[in-house]
Amino acid sequence: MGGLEYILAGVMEALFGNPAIVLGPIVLSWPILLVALGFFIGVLIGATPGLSGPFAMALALPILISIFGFTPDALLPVFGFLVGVMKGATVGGAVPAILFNTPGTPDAFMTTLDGYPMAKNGQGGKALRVAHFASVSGDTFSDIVLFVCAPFLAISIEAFLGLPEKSALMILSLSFVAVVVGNDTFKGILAACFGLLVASIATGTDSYPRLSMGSDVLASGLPTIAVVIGVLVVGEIFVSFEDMWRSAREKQKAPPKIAPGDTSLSMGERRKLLPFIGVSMSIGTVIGALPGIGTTLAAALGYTAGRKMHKGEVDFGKGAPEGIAATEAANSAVSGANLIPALSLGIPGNVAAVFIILAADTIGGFNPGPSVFRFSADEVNPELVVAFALFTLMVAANLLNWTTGAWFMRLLGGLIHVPKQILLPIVLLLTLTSVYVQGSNMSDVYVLLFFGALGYLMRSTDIPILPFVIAYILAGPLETTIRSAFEATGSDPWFLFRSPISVIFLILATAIICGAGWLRGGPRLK
Amino acid sequence: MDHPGKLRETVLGLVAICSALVALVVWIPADIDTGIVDVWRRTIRIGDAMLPSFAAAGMLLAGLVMLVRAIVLVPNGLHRVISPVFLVTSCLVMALGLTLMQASGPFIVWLWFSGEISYRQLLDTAPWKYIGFVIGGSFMIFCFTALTSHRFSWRFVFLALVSTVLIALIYDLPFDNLLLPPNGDI
Amino acid sequence: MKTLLSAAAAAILSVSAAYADWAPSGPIKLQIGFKAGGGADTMARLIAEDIQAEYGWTLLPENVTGAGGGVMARSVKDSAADGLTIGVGITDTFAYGVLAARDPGYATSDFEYLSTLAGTQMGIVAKSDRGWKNMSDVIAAAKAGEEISFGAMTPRLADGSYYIGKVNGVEFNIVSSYKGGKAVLNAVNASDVDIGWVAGPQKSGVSAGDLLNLANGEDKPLRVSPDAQTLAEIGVDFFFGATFVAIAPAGLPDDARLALSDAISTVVQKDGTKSNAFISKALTIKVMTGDEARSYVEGELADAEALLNATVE
Repeated sequence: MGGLEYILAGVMEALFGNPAIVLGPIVLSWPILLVALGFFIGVLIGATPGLSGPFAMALALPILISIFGFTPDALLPVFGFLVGVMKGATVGGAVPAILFNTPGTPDAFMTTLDGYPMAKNGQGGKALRVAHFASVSGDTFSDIVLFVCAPFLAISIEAFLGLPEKSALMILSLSFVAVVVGNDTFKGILAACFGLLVASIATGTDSYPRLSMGSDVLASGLPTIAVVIGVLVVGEIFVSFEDMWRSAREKQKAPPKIAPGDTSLSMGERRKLLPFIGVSMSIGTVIGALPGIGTTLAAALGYTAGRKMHKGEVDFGKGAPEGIAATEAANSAVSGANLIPALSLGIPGNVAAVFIILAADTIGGFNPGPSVFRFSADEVNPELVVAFALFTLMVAANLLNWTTGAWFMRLLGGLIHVPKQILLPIVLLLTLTSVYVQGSNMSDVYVLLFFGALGYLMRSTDIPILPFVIAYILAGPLETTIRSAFEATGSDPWFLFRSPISVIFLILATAIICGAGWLRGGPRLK
Repeated sequence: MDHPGKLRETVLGLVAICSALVALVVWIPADIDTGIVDVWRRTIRIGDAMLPSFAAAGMLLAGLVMLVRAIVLVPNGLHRVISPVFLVTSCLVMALGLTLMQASGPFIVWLWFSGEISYRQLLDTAPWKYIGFVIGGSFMIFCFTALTSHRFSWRFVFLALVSTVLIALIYDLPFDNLLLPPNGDI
Repeated sequence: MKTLLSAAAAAILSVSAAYADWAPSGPIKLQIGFKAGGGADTMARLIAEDIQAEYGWTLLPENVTGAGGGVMARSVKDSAADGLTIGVGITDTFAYGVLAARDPGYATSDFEYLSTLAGTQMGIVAKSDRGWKNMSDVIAAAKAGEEISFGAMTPRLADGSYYIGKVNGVEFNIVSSYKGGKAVLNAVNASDVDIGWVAGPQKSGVSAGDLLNLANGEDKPLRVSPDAQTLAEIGVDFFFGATFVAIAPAGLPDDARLALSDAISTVVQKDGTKSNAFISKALTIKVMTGDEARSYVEGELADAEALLNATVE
């Protein structure tokens, strides 16, 4: 099979492979259906203050796996849903930021700066349209970069890198993630190393599951989904509980409801936004391609760049549409590019990629990494078909976003908000149940709550969560690669330093760790 | 310790150092069979202790730097406030909720059938299989709702009950093989 | 109300009594010693579905993983011997696994072996463009000084690789850290290792001509390459295939043991059941029950002991 045939097979697989509804010649496949479902749920979740995309992914993953099972047929519907949520939550986050001045996600904070003033001036609908236009443009652009870069990168890695170089590359990415996320090098390293230590429990190659303390609960290995969801979601829920518990006395006034007002956005206005969108989406894409750097930084950089180039009548911060466009284009462009390291290296760069890799791991039949993009001619490489089908689903999500996103955002502006005090306890029980049904074992719930407590403590002491999660997921592949490299070179102790490429990677890793510490200089002296 | 952030950073550094030391000195040597390198059939392999030892060493290093920094420098303290009362209350709610979830089903079945039929035999039979989940689950939802809004309301009780029943049905009706908590453990 | 509910419960519990002499008094827990997803887990779940359809018993499958099936074995051993808990694993766990683990926490005699289920298609695989036709060619290449790396996914297979080298006077670089046969297959495909043990997923690659079974690890010819070199031809008198087996705690009453054993072996062998179709496609049907199953596992135990003695330094 040639390259073109693989792409075609992927498109066909996504569109017709697993039909849900057949009406004469019209076929609606499960993957497409779930993209749509995920997208709308994503917009809804993104628009609800206090919830974010990862919540929806965490809750949905176990349920989806229960519905679709562990067959390769399950991969695309599950991916479709995750991709839909990812994109929906990205545009949805702008709704409360603009209409209620409450950012649903941290990266939507910059959107409030110009969005809320516009809404107060009776231009809420217009602001939503600007946000949507910029967001979709940024998203589409970074997806195109992903489609081109991921296969290319993967093929070159597979062609030029052997086991020792792959090990060095993983060490480099992990150091990068540890240092760059959060604002403290050593807390990042602590989190990453702790992730590696936790991942060591009951893995390894010896017949005795290491570090299992003689307990059969540990000997089974920690349930990955429970660990990840515990730290990411349950920890966050308890932090919110505590914040609400403390602030309940100081009754918060409900934000005044603002009518959307002027909702038009002419072609001319769109054209004037384009330079801002162009700059911001390039920034967002570059940032997104580096593992571990979040959307928040992209939004901040995009906003700053936009303010420097802006010369219009309304200043940034006083209700300039360009400010919204610069922010939203940048933070939306991160999501597609974030999948570049995930698909070409198997290294998850952000939370959405963590869930995609988790889904692939749990279902089986698709191992994100360089081996996916093997264009084998005689034998069909099913993973490559899945990869192109995944790209197709992302395109489908973008089309849906272009056509219905703006309408859906306006619709949500009018919805009543369920108070967090009621919503979050329900989300907690849902999380607990969906983790339980996976393994039918109460110990999974205890693991979930233990790591929830850990996530709570890490948030309370400013220890970044993402390095822990990424290190935890990456530990298995990292250890296997290093061991295999060592054994395949006939136990050469210098196997990591035999090729110039791996030496370069290791020098870079050291430079990043030392450099970042020097750049930030630790806590400032008062 | 004149600065609350300083205390917390110091404690954090100490906790990191202690846990790394415990892992390096006690846990890894006692609980891993193959060592950092492992000689197997005359070839040298990387042993199971390699990864955790490196990880613990990294934690030790990071912890030491954090401790020294916390003592020497004034931290840029933007810490969240931790409320001990909240922590204790939520631990109690979770513990009680999980206990109710696990114990109420067997207890009610025992009462109802006066010990003739065990819960183990009924764990795939409605309505028995829902008892523990609904009682424990709605207890948790209600408590956290009331706790975070600082008031009691019958509306909360109703909402907790309805949402728990809904969650039970979402998982139980479409899937034959899924067991709700705590039925997999009985 | 009370009588109504009690009657309903009683009716559900007695519904299957008409089928045979023995019927479970409640739902049967099926503890699967493999990770959810994957071929072995699918097989076990399909068997559960088939028994449910044919006999009307309720089976609740759950995955109990860890220590190469050892956690499942301990869990089944500690369950009541009333027929309400059974397990699915591989014979390896009850043979090589008992001998190689430091403290397995169970013994081969702690179980009733209800029925063996299926066998693998274990072969030593290489990419065909390497130019080797069989293991003898690889051994010749190694003797000529080429470094050969050999991928394995279990300690027993690593021992096997070592033994093949030892008998033939060569040393392979044995890469033993892979998890699952699919990982070894990927490593062979990516040229991370030169040759490796694969238990069945090599089928499509071998049919397409990209891959080659250099040698047959089973005691019967491989379906996809029936002429592959046998291990006996390179001086190895062990087999390395895996056999899936259903177990129950020892001391199970005879009527329960016979009924369970009969139910499992029947659905696996019956044409048209889901498990039969799945096993025929992905593995091979391999059914032995009663004493035959027990002596098969004991035979593997003796083999494992011989292999360990032969490879010990």
